Amino acid sequence: MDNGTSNSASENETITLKSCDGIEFHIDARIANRYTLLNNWNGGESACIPNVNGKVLEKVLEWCEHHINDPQLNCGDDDSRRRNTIIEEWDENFLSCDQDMLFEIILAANYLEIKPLLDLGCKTVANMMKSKSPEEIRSAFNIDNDYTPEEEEQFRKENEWAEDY
Amino acid sequence: MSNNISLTEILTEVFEHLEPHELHSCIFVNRQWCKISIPILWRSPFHECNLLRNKWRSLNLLARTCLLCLGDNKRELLMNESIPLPSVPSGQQPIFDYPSLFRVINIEIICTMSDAWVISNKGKCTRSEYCKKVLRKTLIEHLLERAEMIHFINLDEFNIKPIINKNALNLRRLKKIRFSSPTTDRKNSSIDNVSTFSENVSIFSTLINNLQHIIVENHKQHGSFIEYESDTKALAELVRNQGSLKCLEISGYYMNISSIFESLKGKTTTLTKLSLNRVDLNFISQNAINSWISCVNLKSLEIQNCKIVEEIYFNSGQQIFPNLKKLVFVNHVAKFPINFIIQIIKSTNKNLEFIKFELDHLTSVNQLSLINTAIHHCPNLVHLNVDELLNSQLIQILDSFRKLRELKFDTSNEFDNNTFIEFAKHISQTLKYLYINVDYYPFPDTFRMFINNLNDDVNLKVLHISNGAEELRNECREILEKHGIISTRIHSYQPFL
Repeated sequence: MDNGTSNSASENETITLKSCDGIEFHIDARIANRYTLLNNWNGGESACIPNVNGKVLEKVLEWCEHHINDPQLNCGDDDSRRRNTIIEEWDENFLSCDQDMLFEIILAANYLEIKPLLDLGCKTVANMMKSKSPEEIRSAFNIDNDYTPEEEEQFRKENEWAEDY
Repeated sequence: MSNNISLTEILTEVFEHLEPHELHSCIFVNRQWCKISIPILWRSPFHECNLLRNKWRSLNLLARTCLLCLGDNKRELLMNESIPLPSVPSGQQPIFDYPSLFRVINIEIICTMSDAWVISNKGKCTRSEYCKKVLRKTLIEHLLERAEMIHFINLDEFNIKPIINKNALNLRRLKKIRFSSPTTDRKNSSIDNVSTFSENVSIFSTLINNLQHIIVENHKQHGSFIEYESDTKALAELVRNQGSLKCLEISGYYMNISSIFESLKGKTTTLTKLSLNRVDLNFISQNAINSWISCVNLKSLEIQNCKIVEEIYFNSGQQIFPNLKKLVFVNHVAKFPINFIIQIIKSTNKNLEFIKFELDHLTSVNQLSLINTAIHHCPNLVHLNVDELLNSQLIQILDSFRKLRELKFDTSNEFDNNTFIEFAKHISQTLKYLYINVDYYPFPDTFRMFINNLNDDVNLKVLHISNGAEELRNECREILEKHGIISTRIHSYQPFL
């Protein structure tokens, strides 16, 4: 069983990751060992990460490094994972970046199968939507309304049951 | 974001973190958001119905939309029975086929929803009890026909015989089912074609063979022996017929359930979770025990308030549940043989990550023996929830379980300032949640000393001290919060669920 701290790589071992725009990062091999996709590429001393640029990869690796000693929990199902809405202070500060970077981090976490970072990013975006009206959400995320008034009215009636939920 | 496929995936993940009323706002943002949020919102309407602020109004509105989605035949049937249908502008069709999005069907909620519609249209329904019955049946039938992605059906004391038949093809996709037996079989009920609990279970046995999760709750108080026997026989048959059963939860069977355990024989590699609540294990046969302990892939075992007088012994040295990660033993009703628990812990191959013990009637010798076994055989423990710890054991636990993330304990010992302050020195960097239920109330100075004694690398996030009566003083709370530790009683972090 792997509990995060029992990774087979030792503390001094490093591997090199290269972003899609050619920037190299020398990282603790234990980080690569924790995450399936990074681990799959860990055939040698270096690996190339297509689809993630240097700026985003740097942020993702910063997060991985900070959480290197976190236990990897297998007990919780999806529901209990999602119910737990607490975001730790370090993580909150880490994701206090501009919206584009936040979405890039989420995409990268999804691509690299770093589940806890994906959850964290999605929770952060979800928190930005809470207690907001549709108009406020549109303005926060710069989205245009493409409904016709009739369509919107019909939707409102068909889904009115969920208003007080 | 680079492309729309990713945006859809990411929004789906984000929406999973929202409550239904928060999701409701997302529907109206734009068409793309609507397309993603509607299937999530309609997946399990009123999953937690009792939380509704205005339950009756909301259920009536839900019924309205479901009725709009009925096909012509069912609409005609309801009109012939003088059941009013919602009025919409002529030719207008619902934007989504909402019933096809249901993945969870809670029969009780569908019934209440039907009743809400009839009651709110009372002036138009002359025979309201009859109308409720017709509407319930029509809506359940319709949902079962349309819900192509049905995953879970919750049958709460409901008579399904008139509705479920072999044409209910969608039911073959079911992964999870919950049966809750009525307090008594209602042979003389006013409902037509009433069936017993065992008949209901048997209907599903013949239809479904791909369930992963079965939950059975028995509420019968005064059933006859024959009734109990046919119930267990039907349940055993249901379990036996499933090819890849992963979870089995049984509750309320103070009777012989050996046949259910024996039917686990073919599930020894698939079963990962077994939960027994208020079950009498005294009657269990040796064959049943053998089937149970051959479930080598069991990861979670919960035994709560079960009756057992004598020890169950396994062959010495036998690895019973080598992959077990979660173990829960709760017993407030009677003594529980301690060697049985110890044998299980020893057999888990040091894989246990989650332990909960709440055992009343435990002698101090047995308590020591149980905790010592855990200390020696569970080096990878992440959660520990245990009652009645001695002060010396607290320190021993903190020093031994170096991967512990969450610790909850009760103690009626002399837990004083010195213990509390000393305790801080032993907290490891992995411990994030500490819940102490104790007859003790630390003062601000004690908290300051507690903080001073914490090691530099400590990551404690939540410290909850409950003495059953008082909340922590604001001053104490502020001291903790300055160090990034939350102390409030109510917060969203609930690791022990």
